[in-house]
Amino acid sequence: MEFNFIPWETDVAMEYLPMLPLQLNGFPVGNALVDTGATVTILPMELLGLLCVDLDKKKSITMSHAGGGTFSVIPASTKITYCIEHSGFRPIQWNGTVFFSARQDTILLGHYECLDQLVLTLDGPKKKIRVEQK
Amino acid sequence: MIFSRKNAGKWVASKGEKVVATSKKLDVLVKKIDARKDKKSIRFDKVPQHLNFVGFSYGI
Repeated sequence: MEFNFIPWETDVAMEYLPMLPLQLNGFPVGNALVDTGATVTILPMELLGLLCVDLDKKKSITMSHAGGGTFSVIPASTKITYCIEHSGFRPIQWNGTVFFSARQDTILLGHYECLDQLVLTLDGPKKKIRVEQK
Repeated sequence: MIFSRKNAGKWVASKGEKVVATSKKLDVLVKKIDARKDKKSIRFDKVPQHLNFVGFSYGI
């Protein structure tokens, strides 16, 4: 499967983001950023109710981000089902743990039980991302 | 679909390349879309507001 980067109009210029169109537990959450610097997948807290999952607050963890700051994330109590669909292709589907943060706007796809399930190729000049599941 | 500056910070519902509705609250937007016959082909995105995409790591 191959997807175009998503154009993002900023104050500086038009940027292009490597994103994947996702369904999580069957809900079409739209485009999620492939964040190869991220350890885990983080979702906005607003999605919690729509995905029909609960938080495991006892397993809340603190993470560090670029710039030296820290923030807390809370894992879902159960694994969720990721699904990537593209016409003409068999859907790519897998289960993994996700974390929620109240301060997160965009879905960030990290390595743990997410990017480590996929073969990803970024083509910067063509602004395309290719995804396979092995 | 384009993450446009005018929708920065909002949730947008889109069908293909076209934005069909926006809201600051996701639950409000989902309710708006729920009445549509084509709701299964609608996707929901939060348009980023800031240039702040960075990696992060667990370890504290």
